[in-house]
Order: sequence, then C-alpha cells, then structure tokens
Amino acid sequence: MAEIDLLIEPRGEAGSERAVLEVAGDIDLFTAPQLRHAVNELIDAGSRKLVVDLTKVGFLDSTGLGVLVGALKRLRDSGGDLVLAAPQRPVRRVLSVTGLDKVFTIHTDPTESQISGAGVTQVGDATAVRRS
Amino acid sequence: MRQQSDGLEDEAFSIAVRPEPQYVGTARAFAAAMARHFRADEERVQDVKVAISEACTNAIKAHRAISIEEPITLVVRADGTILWYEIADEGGGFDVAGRIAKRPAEGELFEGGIGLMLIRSLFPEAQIEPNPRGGTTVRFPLALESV
Repeated sequence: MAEIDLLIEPRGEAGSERAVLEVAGDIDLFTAPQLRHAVNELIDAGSRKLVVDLTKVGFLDSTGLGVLVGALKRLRDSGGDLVLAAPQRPVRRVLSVTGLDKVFTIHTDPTESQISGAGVTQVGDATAVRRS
Repeated sequence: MRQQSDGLEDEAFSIAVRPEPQYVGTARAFAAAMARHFRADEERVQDVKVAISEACTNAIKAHRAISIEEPITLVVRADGTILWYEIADEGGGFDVAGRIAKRPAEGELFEGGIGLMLIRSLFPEAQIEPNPRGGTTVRFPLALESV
C-alpha cells in the first residue's frame, strides 16, 4: 500500500504540555492504528492537553471513536484532557448518536483551541504544514 | 405508492470484499455510491457509510479471528422505494461455542458492541442474525424518497 489514507500533522514542539494534532481523511479500521500511534507518541512525549483538529475528517466510525476514547482516558487519568476541535457534520452525528458528545470537550471552532490555553507553539497555519 | 415499471424492481448490485482492513473504505464507497445513485438524502448516505463501516469491520475481524480468506459479501437491492443493504460473513457467527470469533454481547462497551449499537441507532429496522454460511448477516433498509 503506497498511498497515504490519513494525514496526521502534529503542531507545536515535541514534549510541550499542549499539542495540536491535525488529522485529514477517513478514520476507520484501516487508518485508526495510525491515529492511535500519533496520539500515543504525543502523550508519551509529555503532552497533557491534546487537541485533535477534525476539520478535515470526513468520516469517523466506532474504531476511530475507540482510539479517541482511549486517549481521553489516558489523558484524564493524568490530569490532562483531549479536545476535539471542529468536528464536521458526519463526525458530529456519530458523536451525538453514541452520546460521546457529552463526554468529550468539543470546540466547534479550531482557532478557539489554538488561542485559548497557554504554551501553544504554533507552527505555521494549517495549509502550510500539510504534506502531499 | 409503488409504480409499475419504475425500473427499480429487483435491481441488485454486489461486491465481494476481501477480509482486510483497507477494504472497509471500498465497501463504504460502494454503499454510498449506490445510495446516491438511487437519490437518497445526503444525510442518510452518511448514515449508510457508518452502518456499512461498522458491519464490515465486525465481519473482517470475525474472518481474521479464525483466519479465513473468504470474502465478505455486500449486496444492495432496490425494492420499490426501499434500498436494502446486506452484509454477510462466515466468520463464526453468534453461537459457535468456544470460537474466538464469537460476537460481543449487545451493550458491551467495546468496539464491536458500539458498532452494533450504532447500526441499530441509525437503522432501527436492522436485522442482525446468524446465516447458513455459519457467519452473521446484517441487513437494513434505507427508505428512498418516492420519485
């Protein structure tokens, strides 16, 4: 498999307290392991407040939810939190049908996640950091 | 009201999906294309994508758990103003005692359980039952707007 099905772009410095993960693509059985790996890497490096920017995620199912719930548990257990930023309509529907919209901290505007909270090191804007 | 010769009667489309994770997206794209072909509401197309993804994920896991290479079948059948989706696997089913592919009980809070819950929430008329191939068949109807 040569193609990249999920683009995951961390923003901010490695090991910083707060990190933003920009994800683009569909999150399912095939791509969820990539997300799990990226999220765990940031948590292992010391991030305690993790923002997952879902602006460019067009699809998310229970396998993807499993990854996000797992990360949420890990972070809250150590006094941190996971924020879901800008989930689009299909993702919002899955969150609300499962009731997880009441469990996660959700920011409807991704810029809200970047501006609020101290210690964010922003590296360029969203389009500039995209790989192709 | 069902029209005579509306061209939708008994039309069926199907694909065989190899039990590997990368093909969940293929099944989802096929299911969505069929829904759009029959002019389903776009919100419901999204619901179909979720239900198909969940059903295929469970089926793929079931096949892999008992190491079988047989494909999972996805059939879409147009019946008047209903589009029926059917996903069938042969991955061990519900009632095979001691088999590792045994399905999680409904309501159990892990991925397989959430998947079935999502299918049932989005399509309350969904049927999830054992099939003659020794696996599970998930079947749900999508109501089309009458043309």
